[in-house]
Parts: sequence; C-alpha cells; structure tokens
Amino acid sequence: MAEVAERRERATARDIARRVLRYENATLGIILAVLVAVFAVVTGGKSVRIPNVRMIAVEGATMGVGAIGQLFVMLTAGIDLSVAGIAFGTGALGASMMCTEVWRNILVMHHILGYTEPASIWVGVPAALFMGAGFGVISGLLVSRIGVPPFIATLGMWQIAHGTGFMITGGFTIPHLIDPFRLFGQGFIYGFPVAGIIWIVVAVIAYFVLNYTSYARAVYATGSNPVSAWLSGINVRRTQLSVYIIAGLTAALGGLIRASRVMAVSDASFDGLELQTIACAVVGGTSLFGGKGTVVGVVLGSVIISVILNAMTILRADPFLESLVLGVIVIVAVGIDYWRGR
Amino acid sequence: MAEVVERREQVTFREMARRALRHENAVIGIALAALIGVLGGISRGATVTPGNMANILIQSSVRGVAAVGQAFCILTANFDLSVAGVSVMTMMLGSAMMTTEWTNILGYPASPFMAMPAMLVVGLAWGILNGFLVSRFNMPSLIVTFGMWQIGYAVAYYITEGKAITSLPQSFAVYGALPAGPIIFFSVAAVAYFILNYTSFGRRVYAAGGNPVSAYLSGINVKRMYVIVFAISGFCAALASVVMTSRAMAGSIEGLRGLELDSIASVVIGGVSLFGGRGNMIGVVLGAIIIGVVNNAMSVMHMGHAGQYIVKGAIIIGAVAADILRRRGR
Repeated sequence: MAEVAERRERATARDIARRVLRYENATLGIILAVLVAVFAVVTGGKSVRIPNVRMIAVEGATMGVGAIGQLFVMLTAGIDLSVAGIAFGTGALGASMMCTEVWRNILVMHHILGYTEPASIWVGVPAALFMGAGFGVISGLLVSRIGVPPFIATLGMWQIAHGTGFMITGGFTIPHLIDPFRLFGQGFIYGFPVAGIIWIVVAVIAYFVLNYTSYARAVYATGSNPVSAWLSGINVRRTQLSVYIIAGLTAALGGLIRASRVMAVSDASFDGLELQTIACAVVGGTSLFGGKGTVVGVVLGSVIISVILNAMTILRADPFLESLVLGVIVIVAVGIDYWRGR
Repeated sequence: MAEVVERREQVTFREMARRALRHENAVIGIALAALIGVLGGISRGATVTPGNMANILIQSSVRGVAAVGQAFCILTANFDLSVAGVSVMTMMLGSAMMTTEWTNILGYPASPFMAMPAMLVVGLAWGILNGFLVSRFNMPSLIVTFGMWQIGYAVAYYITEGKAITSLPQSFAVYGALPAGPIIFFSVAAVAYFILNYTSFGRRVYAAGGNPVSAYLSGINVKRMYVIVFAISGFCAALASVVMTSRAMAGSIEGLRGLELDSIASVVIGGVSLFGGRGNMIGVVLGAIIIGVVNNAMSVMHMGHAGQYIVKGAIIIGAVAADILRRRGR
C-alpha cells in the first residue's frame, strides 16, 4: 500500500511539472526568469538596475507594440513584413509635421498642409496613426479582396511605405522635433516610462479584445479555417482587412515611440523591425499557420527578446552578433513550434 | 462565298492575336518592348543609347542570375528570402580573400580562380542548409530564409566589421564587364531552361510544386527536391554576387541590398505562379530585364530613392494581383 501511495505521489509531482510546462506561457515565464538571472550575473548586476529596466521597457516598446499588431495578422494565418516600412513612413510624416526647423524638403509638407509653425502633437501624432491605418487598409484590401498572398502584399507595402517616407524626408534625418513630443519615448509618470505604459495599455486592450469579444472568435476562426469560418457566418474578408489595419496602427505607434526616444527620424531608424516583431510573436508561441497565439505569450516573447538585445548592448557585443542571434532565435523558435506540433 | 472567306480570314487574324496573347511570354515580351519605347520617349532618348542599353544588360545580369535560382524555389512553392544575405556574405568573403588589406582569412591575397569557387561553394552550402531546415523540420521557407538572410548579413559584417573592401585585383574585372556578365546570365538561364524542360528532374520540380502530395504519392522524393532547389538558389545567389563584385570591383555591405525583392519581382513578373508549379525560364529572363529597364529609367530620369521604392512595391503587388485575377477569370 505504502509503495503504491508513494508511487502515486511521485507521479503527481511529475504531473504538476508536466502540466505547468504544457502551458506555453509558463514555460516562457521560466525562460524569461532564467535569462534575467543569467544576464544579471554575467553583467555584474548592471542589467537589473532600475535605469536599465526602464531602458528595456522603452526600447522594447516599439517592438512590443508592433508585435501585438503582428499577432493579430498571424492569427489570421497572414504575416506582416511592412512593419518597418510603415513605422518609417508614418514616423517621417509625424516628424516632418512636428519639426521646428523648416527645411526645403520639409517645406513641401508645410506648404501642402498650410502650416507655418510646427504642428502640435495633437495633430502630428493622429496624422501619423491615420497614415499607418491607411497603409493597413491597402494591404488588407489586397489580401482580402484580391487574394494576394499576405507576404507579397506586405512586402510591396513595405517598399511603398518606405518610399513614401523617403519622399517626405528627402533622404535626410529629421531632427529638432517639438519638445512636447519627447513625452512618448522619454517621459515618465511616477517613475514609470510612458513608452512602457503605452505598451501595457495596448497589450491590455488586445488581451481584452482577443478574450472577451466575438471579434476574437472571428479572428481565430478565420486563421484556423477560413472556409468553415465563412460557412459559419463570419465575414472573413472584413476580418482580414481589420487585422491589417490594426497592424498598421501598431506599427505607426511603435514608430512614434522610437522617433520620440531619439527625437529624430531617419530611413535607417527602423531597420529589421519586421523581423524583430515576427521573432517576438513566434517566440511567444504564435503559429505561422494561424489560429494559435495569445497576447500574454507575445508580450512575454517581446520582453525576452528585449532582455536579450539589451544584455548584448550592455556586454558590448558586436552589432553583427545581434542580428545573428535574432536570426537564430527565429529559426529555432519556429523549429521548436513544429517539433512540438508533430 | 467571298463573304465567308473574308470572315474566316478576319477570324483567323483575331485568333492569331488571341493565341499570341495567350502565350504569357509573348505578352511579357510586348510589355518589355512597349516599356523600352515609352521610357525612351519620356526620357527623350536618354535610356535607349547603346551605352545605357549595355548598362541595363549588365545590371539585369546580377538580378537575373539570382532570379533563375529564385524561380526554382518558387516553382516548388517555396521562397528564398536569404538571397541578399547569402550574396552579400559571399561578396565580402570573396573580396576579403582577394585583397591584401584584409588577409586574415588566408594570410595572402588569393587569385580570382581561388576566390570564385570558394564563393560559389559557400553559396551552395548556404542553400543546402536552407533546404535542409525547410525539408527536414517542415518549417515554412519564408521564415527560415528570412532568418538566414539576417544571419548572412551578420556573417558579412563579421568578415569586415562593416567596412567596404576595395582594390580587388584587375584580373577580376572581367566577369562583370560587358561580354561576360550577360553571357553568364544567359547561359545560366539556358541551362535552367534545359533542365526544367528536358530532364526528368525538371518535370519533378514542376510536379513537386503543383501538388506536393500527389508528387509524393507518385514516387517523387519531395523533400530532396526542396533541398536541391534551395541549393540551386544559393549557388545562383553566389554567382550573382561574383558578377556584382566584379562589376563594382569592391565589396560593400550595402552593395546587394534588396536583391531578394528584385529576384522575386523578376520571377513574378515573368509569370511564375507564387503557388508553385507554373511558369518558365524565358519569362523569368524577360522579367529580370523589365525590372532592369524600369530601375535604369528611374535613375536616368533622376527619380530618386522614393520613386524607386514606390514603383518597385507597386510592380510586385500589381504583377501578383494580375496573376490571381487572370486565373480567377479562367
């Protein structure tokens, strides 16, 4: 009898571990904790000091907000490669409107919009977000109405948005933005960075939308089987369109946060952002085939990637190593996802 | 009677036009000719000078060689986004091997006949790695090659710490100059055309792309096909890098940026379906030249980066959308 009881207990302990590990987010949390501990030791505690944690929140916000838009697109079995292009295009528009220096190339913007003074953030920021949504509408229409594969539609949109940004900036860096714009990337509320707060707010809204609304059902259903979703009365086309608009908005918001952090926009500001957001989503357990993924997972994935990139900066790793690690992470994360799915 | 004959003749003429238009390559060829004519008119002849035409041909060779490899991938419904990464990597490797200012790899400057095979072998190996990851782990090629693109750039940075390498040996300048560059392009395309149309391997590529399941059921090793097409694409990317390095006579990180997009655009404009199994090499060659003509006209007319980005994005989306709409109409 005693033997049996013992055996059962042992099985339970193992079972608990197995159950915890079955929750992907628990696994991710454990990985994150281990990474934070390891980096804290390796950097001699530098990585866990308050200023650095704030830095991670600010640096990660651009990627993290963009990754939430990426999650919506990937849930419908799409992929958004236009994140970096949209962030630059919209950032360029916002920056050129809010720039205190009126250059020749930016003058064009001011002529079109009739400004003689830089716009306030209440005009510049909504304009940038609106433009992001507009780019999203175009790629969304291409995907949902014509049936262009998402990656081609967004690859093309990336070029178009990047070109639009180039047209606005004329290829120059736009510095000297109006001072109130500093808030998004450098502001603090009771010691909390505003960028981090924006990230949390976006994540909470996305969590609510994806867990407590009928729209969430439409998104997940469209991703896992568009035909059966259509047959059960879901407007698949409209759902597809909507996720690209969300992705355009989040990309624009991410772009504004980074623009505000460095108070400048240039065409190289957002290099690699699309891969970073994909990495965040994939590490967070989002499936590339749609219908699988959670906001909590994506936020954890974004934090993991931010922590890794931050630690590499502290350790003064070669810039090449950063892209190497990112590439390897994406491939390994996708590989693990497939290996587990088998 | 006379009436009937006349009507029949009319029908025949219309029929001929319709038949010609049904051949995708004829449409693409007509589009190319029209494009050259219109752009020549707009630029008041600046784009159609012999010097500029030669320039277009050489520029198209780099893109075209990469596009031939990309076409093999897309015919099996895969994508190789790592083209720019692997070609930049081999560019930096080759230039580093051939110069004295950066001799950490060998310790002495290698001759082009040593550097070029090294570049091609690295490209081939990179492609095999891509194919291995895609076929053995069943991962989507889009993501795998996107990651490998990033890694390729990282290795390129590592080789030279991001610096440009100049002063390559003069004997290397041949491969990107006028006769050799286009000859490489056309001979690669001709070999690919032959392989795709007259060998059982080519038929198997189409079968694996058209319907992988039925191809597998009819005894084709689909996974091995994937490895081979990615190997071809990696090799072609390295070959494109040889032509480009020789043309620029320098290795730089920015030298081949956007090659993956250009090669996909060439393939798509050439009428190859993104869903696999449909398309041919002649279309790809024409597609590469069309992109070359458009790119060149934009820089001759000083349209700047902005216009080039926007036009290229619109071309890619437009070509794919046209392909889808036309197939839906059938």
